[in-house]
Amino acid sequence: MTPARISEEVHIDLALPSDNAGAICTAKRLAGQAGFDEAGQSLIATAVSELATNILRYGGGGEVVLRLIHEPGRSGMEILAEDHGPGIRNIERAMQDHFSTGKSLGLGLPGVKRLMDEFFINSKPGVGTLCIARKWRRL
Amino acid sequence: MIDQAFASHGMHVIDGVLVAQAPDSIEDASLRQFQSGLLSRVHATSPRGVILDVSRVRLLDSTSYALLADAGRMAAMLGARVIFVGFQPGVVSALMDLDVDVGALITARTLEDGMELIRPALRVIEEDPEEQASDDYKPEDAAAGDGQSQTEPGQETKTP
Repeated sequence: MTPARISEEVHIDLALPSDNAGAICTAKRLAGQAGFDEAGQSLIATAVSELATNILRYGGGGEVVLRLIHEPGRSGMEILAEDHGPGIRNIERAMQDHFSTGKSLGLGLPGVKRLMDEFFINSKPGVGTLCIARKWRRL
Repeated sequence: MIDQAFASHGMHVIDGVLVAQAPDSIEDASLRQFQSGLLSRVHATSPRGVILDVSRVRLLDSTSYALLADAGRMAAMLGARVIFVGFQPGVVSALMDLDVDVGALITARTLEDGMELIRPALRVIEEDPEEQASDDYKPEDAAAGDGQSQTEPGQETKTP
């Protein structure tokens, strides 16, 4: 994932289940600011909710960073989700679909990948997990 | 007390159908509260149908969707026909991307359409004059009704 120009950045700490609502709210607002229509805002907010839920449930808390990003000809939104929890042992398996394989880890990561345009994940057992997802809008 | 709690959940019985408004929340706690409120209300009122109005719901992730779908399954296990009404387009496209199992859901666009899906069962009762006074149910009424239907078996196969 190549770095993009960032015009705004919001950090949201995730410690309590109720923190998810704040992350979703901010995601919708920023997505609107980035020019996404209501459907686009909803998709981005859903992706944020999936990632935030994982962090709260399995990551022992963490952080979501929401960014307005820009490249020539397009702008969009970036979600960075990070925790220092147990990590994901088998990322390949976590990225498999639930219904096609029946072997999903149930983290909703394939869903996040489909909701967004770009998706990156890195995880080390015992160290934590980092997800970055982007959705673009042509200018 | 109990009725007030139900009212705060936005649940009403219309024509023997329980209409329940799903909360616009992705929080486990409020969805679980909705589940248990719905469950006890369905158990208490034994409606033939339940309409779960999801028109206020603007966002569902895979967890909150599962809780909502479970609420519907609970009502169905108590014998009610369950119809989801008013899914928003943004919610629908997100659910498709999340690849959640929506196959078991019966949906309708509006409350009216939803009532229409449940109505066939209601019409049978409305057409039977003996059942009109069903509020004051008497055994002899039921016996008379049974006798009538036995003497005119052709009525049962008549199309409405």
